[in-house]
Amino acid sequence: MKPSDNPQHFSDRAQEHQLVISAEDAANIGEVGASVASTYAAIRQIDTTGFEPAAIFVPTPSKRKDD
Amino acid sequence: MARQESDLTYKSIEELAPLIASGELSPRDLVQASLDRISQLDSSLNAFLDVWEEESRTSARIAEEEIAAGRYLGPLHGIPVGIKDLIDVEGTPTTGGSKVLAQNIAGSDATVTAKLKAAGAILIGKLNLVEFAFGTTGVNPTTGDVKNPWDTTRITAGSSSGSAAAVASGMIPAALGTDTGGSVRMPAALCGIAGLKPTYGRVSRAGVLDLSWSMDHVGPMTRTTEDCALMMNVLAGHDPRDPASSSNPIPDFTSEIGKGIDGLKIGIPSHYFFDEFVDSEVLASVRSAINLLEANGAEIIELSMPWVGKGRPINFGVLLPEAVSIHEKMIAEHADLYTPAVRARIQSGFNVAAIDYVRAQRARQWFNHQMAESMSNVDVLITPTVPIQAPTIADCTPSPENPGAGSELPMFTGVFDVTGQPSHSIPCGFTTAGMPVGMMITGHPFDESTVLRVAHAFEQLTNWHQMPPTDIPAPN
Repeated sequence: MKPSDNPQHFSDRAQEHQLVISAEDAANIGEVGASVASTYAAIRQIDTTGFEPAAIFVPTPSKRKDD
Repeated sequence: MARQESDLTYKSIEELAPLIASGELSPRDLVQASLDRISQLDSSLNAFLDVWEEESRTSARIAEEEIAAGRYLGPLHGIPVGIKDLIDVEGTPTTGGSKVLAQNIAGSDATVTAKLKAAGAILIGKLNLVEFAFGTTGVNPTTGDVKNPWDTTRITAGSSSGSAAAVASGMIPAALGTDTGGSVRMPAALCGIAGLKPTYGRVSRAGVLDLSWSMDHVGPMTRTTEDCALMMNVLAGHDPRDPASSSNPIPDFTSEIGKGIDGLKIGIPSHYFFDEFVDSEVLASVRSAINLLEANGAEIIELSMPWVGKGRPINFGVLLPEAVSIHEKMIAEHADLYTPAVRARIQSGFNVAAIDYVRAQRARQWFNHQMAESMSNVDVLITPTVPIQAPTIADCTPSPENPGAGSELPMFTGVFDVTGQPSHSIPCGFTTAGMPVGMMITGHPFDESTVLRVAHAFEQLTNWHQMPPTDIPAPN
């Protein structure tokens, strides 16, 4: 079992990242968690070589106020 | 059976606007007809969370006086419009369909709300939805489930569930919805109305509760495609309050709508959207619609898109971490106020690795490249909107035995939230159970005009969009 499949470990890991979740809630995620795992498994199979992330920061032009 | 011409509440904006402009129809009478229809039906359909009777009557009186004084503002002047309860209307609650925000009063109008008010539309109330728009079925244990006017035991789909039910049942001619995985188009399809997800950035999201910053869209839901175009003429435009707002030029969305389809090239994906897992009656209706368009001058081109099934995982893979980030503070403070199913959806993203989110955004860029390449020789794509017939509410009520209820619904729509393309659902037939089937027309980015042109042409050839729902009483 991966740590993220264990409700207590899931809860502990989330709380390490300051995301509050009870062990009971973590246990109830169940099938939804499986769906999340399969989503990212499908994404990992895609060869994205040569592609940057879609969300790229573009600076907004600005200057000193008294210019 | 086409609807009766005497039914004021089933008339489209394109029919009502000239009557209002000429003084033949009073906005006060139209608003009262809407309020009467809401009073007649909403205790069973549960489309509205709040109805602003006195305010809408006052607005209608003012509209009537302005029009009589020669200050007609355009086709939305005096038209009743409903607002999904994800969108701010100054001085009224924006709850997102959740107990978490039960006391949240909007301090100002969302940009889309302000635009509708400036165009003279009469805001009639707030519409029910899936909690925080994070779901596909229209089931909401907090606010009550919205019923499908074609069969009240079945779902409307969501998350813009109240918007679809209210428009389909003739309570209002138009509503606003939002779409991150298909929440305008799925309920439009299952309720037999038109619903447009514009190009990402075309319509401002300022003042709208976020679900996924990089994929949230606001769009119109109406009974005809021309009405969506009329709404877009008011809603579209650059907004400095929305960081993703586009500065692309805004066309008159009605100007090319009647040009027909002769010579247009329509792409039909040979993968995924027409595969064996899709309901056979849905496939038959959409294929019949494609044949009709071909017979009337469109060129049909089959497109090989073996990669397109990756779209829905990318959609969810981007959405989930963004939703977790948006809800992080609220869910830490008010976890007990979320409904269990939505809480589980959000919390399931707590351990998504940063690298997986970046992978999803890179995959999104890859996917957009594939889509642009595939569509380089066609004007639009046509597909089914959803792959299944409308399930019953009982089948979609989340339970430990049924945690993935409704998961098939966004398989097709979510693809075009990834690409941000304009994508529009219109009715194209019925199942043997009497439920509407939706056809999705998707165009190149910022080319809503061609999408609307194809949809309008189809509506001129058929009367699916004029059928009145069969599981609700006729107007009094």
